[in-house]
Amino acid sequence: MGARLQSLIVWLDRGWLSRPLGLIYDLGLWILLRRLEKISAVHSVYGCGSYFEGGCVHGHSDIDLIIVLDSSIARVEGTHGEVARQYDRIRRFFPFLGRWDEKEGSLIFLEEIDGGFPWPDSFTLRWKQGRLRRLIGPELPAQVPRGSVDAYDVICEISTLLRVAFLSGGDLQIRQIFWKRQFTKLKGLAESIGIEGLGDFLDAQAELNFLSGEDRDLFFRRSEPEELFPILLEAVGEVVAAIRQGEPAVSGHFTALGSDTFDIEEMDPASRARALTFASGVTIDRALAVRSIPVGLEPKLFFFPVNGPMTVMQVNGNPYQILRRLGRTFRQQAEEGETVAYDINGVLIVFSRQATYVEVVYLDPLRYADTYALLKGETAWERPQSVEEGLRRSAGQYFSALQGAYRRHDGWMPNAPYPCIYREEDLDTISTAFAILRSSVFYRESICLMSTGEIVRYFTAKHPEATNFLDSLYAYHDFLNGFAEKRPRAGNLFRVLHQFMVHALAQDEEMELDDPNRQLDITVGLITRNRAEDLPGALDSLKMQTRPPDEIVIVDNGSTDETRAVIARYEALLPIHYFYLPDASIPLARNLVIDEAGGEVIAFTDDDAACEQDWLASVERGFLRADNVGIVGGWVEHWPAENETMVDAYYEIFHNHKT
Amino acid sequence: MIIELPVLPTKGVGKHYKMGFYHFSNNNLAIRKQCAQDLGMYDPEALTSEDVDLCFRLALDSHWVACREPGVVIRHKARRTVRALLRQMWGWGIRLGRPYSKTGYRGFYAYWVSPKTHTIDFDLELGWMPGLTCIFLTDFHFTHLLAGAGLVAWLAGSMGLGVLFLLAAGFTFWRYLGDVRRIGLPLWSTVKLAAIQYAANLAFISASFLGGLRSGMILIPASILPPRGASEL
Repeated sequence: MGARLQSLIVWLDRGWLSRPLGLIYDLGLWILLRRLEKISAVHSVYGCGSYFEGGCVHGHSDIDLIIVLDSSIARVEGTHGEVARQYDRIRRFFPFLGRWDEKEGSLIFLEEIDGGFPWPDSFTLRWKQGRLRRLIGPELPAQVPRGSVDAYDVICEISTLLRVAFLSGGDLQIRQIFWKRQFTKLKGLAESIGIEGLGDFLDAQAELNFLSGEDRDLFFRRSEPEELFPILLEAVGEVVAAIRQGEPAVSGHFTALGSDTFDIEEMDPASRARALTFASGVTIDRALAVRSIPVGLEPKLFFFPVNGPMTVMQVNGNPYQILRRLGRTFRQQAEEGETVAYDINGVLIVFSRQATYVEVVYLDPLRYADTYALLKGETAWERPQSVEEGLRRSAGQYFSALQGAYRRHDGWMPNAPYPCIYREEDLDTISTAFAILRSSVFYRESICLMSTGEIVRYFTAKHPEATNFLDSLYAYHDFLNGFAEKRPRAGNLFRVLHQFMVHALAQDEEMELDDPNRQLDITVGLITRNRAEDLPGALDSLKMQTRPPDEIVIVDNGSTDETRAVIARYEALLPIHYFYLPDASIPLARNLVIDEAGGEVIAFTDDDAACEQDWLASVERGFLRADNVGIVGGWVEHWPAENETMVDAYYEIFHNHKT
Repeated sequence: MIIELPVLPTKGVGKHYKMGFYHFSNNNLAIRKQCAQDLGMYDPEALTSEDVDLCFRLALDSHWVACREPGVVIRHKARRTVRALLRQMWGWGIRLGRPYSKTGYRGFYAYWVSPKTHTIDFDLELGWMPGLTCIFLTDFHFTHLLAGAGLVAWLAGSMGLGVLFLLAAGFTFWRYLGDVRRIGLPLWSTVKLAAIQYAANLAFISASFLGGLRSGMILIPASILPPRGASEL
C-alpha cells in the first residue's frame, strides 16, 4: 500500500467512517478465504492479531494469517506456489492483506509436522495463549503442544520481536505506533509468565510517555528509533534477568574443547582485510577470529561453515545506528554466505548474507548461553530450567525429524515441478550434513567438534565400518572446496551419505552402508551417419574415460562412407557392438540402442562430439543418487574449429555451455 | 538447446510455469533403460525433436526425475557455414510443436522473457482458452510487431504514428542486440554476428511457428539467448 494512501485511510478511520472501512477489510478477507478454500493444498487458515482481537487501526494493521498446508504438500516440491499466486491475485485489489513474503514466513507444512519437526515457535505461543481463530478448514489433526506459556516460548517470541523491530522498514519505524506495538507486546509476553516489573521499568523512561496515546494519533507522530530501540533492548535485558532470577538454573559444560581464539591481527592479510570490510562505519573495540562452533542446541543456525573461522567483532555504541550501518555494509559488500557475529554492548547479533537478502539473528543469552560462554573462552554455562527443557525437546524433535527426512530421501528424489530439472548442490548437501552431525554430537555429548576433520575422526573412531565412506566424503568435500584438483570417483557417495545420516542420528551401534564405489552397468550409445572423419575423435574420448564404458552400442544409420572401417579399427580397443540401420531415423536408431543395450543405463553421445574424461563417471554418479533418476544430462561446450569463422563465433557465444 | 526457459523463476518461491519445460539435448543425455521403457521410448514421429519430446514426457511423469550433474560435459563441433546453421535452426524449429501439443495441455500461455536477466518477467496463463497457444516473447518479437504496426500506420496515411512506431521498433531492436553488443567485438564483426544471429532467429522462429500450425497449435518460441551462468560448471 502506498504510504500516502495508507495515511489517508488511517486519517479517515474515525467515527462512522470506520464502519465502511471495516466492511472493505471484511470483504477482502472473505474473498481471500473463499479462494483459499478451493485450493486443495490448503488445509486450514488461522487468524490472529489486532483485526481479529479488536483494536485494529484500518490502514495500519495488516491481517495476520497463518496458512496451514496439507500433508501432501512438501516444501521442497514447491507446489505451494499455487497458493502464492492466488494470494497475490486477490491482494492486488485488497493491499491491506499484507505482502505474501510475510505470510510465507508463517506457512505451516503439515508434511513437516507429520515428519516430526516441531511446530513453529510463534504458532505454539499463540496456540497456547488461545489467540488463534480458525477461519477455514478442519481442526488440526496432529498433536499441537498444549499447556501454559513458559519462558522458552517467551524468549523465542522476544527474538522474533527484536528481529522485526530492526528489520522493519524505515517508514514503519518512524511512527510512534510501531514502537507502542513492540513495547506492549513485550510487556504482554513478560506478564504471561508472571514477570510484573517491566511495567515500572517502562513507566520510568521519559522517552516512552507516548505509550498511553491513542493508536490513531500515534500513527502520525514521529518517533526516534535511535532512542527507542536501545530502550527496547534494555527492556529485553530486564525480562531476561527476571527469567534468570525466577527459575532454577541448569548448568552444563563442555567435555572437550580446544578453542583457539585469536586476535584478527594474527590472520593472514587477505582474510583480515576481508573481515575488516564488515567493520566499516562502526568502531570496533576488538575483532576476534574463533574456530567455528555449533550455534545453539538445535540444528538450525548453520550460518558458520564447520571449517570456520568465525569472525566476532565487539562494538560499543548506539545499537540502532550500529545495526543500520552494518545492514547497509552487508547489503552492499558481502557475498552470499558471508557471516559475521557482532557483540554489540554484550548482545550477540549475527549478520549473514543470503542470496537475496541479509539475515539478521539475535542470539538471546538464555537459549544461546553456551554460545556466549564459548565465545568468551569459558567451558561452563547456565540456563533457566524451562528454557533448557524447551530447547532439549525442540532439538530432539529436529534430530528425529531429520533422521526421517534422510531416510525418505535415501534413493528417492523429490519431483520438483519447475524448472523440471533437479540439480543437487553437492557442497551444500555435504556441508549441511557435517553441520547436523556436529550439532548432534554437541546436543548429546556436549562435545564441541571444530572442523570437518574432527567430525570425521570422531565418527571413524565410533564406526570403523564407515571408514571407507568417511574418507571418501572428506576427500570429496576437499575437492568441492577447491583443495583437490581431481574429482574423486566415489559415485555412490550421496546415497551412502543418506544411509550414514540415518544411522548416525538414530545412534545405531552398527552401521550397514552401501559401497561408496558401487558401479552401474553402463552402455554408451552412439548414432552415426557419414561422419568417418569425426568419429575417431568421439571414440578416442571414450577410450580416455576415467570410468571406462562397459559396452558401446553404435548404430550406423545408413552411412555410405568409411564409417564401418573406422569402427572396425576401434573394435579391438573398445567393447563395441555394431548395428546397421539403413533407413535414416534418429528416434528409431536410439530406440534400437536402448533395446540392444546390456546395461541398465544408456549414455548417449554424438559422432561429432568428444566427452570429457570425467563424463561417464559423472553420469554414473547422477544415476546413483537415487533410483528414480530417469535422465542425467549436463553441459555441451562449443568445440571451436581450427580456422574460426563468424558462424563459429556465433556458436561460441549463443550455444556454448548449453544443453 | 535453444528453446530454453530461464532457470530462475522471477518472483515468488516455488512459482512455476505450466509451460516451463526444460530439456537435455541428445548429444549429452543419459537415460535409465527402465525409464525409457516406462515413458514409451523415443517417438519415431518426432524427428529432430525426439529429445525435447522425451524430456517433456519425463517432466510430466510423477515418478522419474531428470538431474543435471556437474562433470557431465562434452565438447561438440558446430556447423561451419551460415547455410548449414540455418538448416539446423529450421530443422529444430519445424518439429518443435509436436512435443508441446503432445503434452495434452490446452489453453493460452504467454511469457515475457526479460532481455537483461533472462528471467520471466510476465506471464499470462489462461487454461480455459480453446486450442493450445504458447508464446515466449522477447525484444525480437516486439521489434517486428512494432515495425509492422509502424508500416501499417504509415501506409494508412498516419505518418506521425508510423514514425513513432518505427522509433519504438528501433529501440526494442537496440535492446535485442544487447546480447551481441555486450560482447564488445569490433564494429564490423558485431554487424556480421548480429546478422547471423538475426537470420538464425528468423529461421528458428518461423519454422517453429509453421511446424506448430502443423501440430495444431500456435507456437512462438523465444529468440535465442546466450546461456547464463556458464560458470555453473
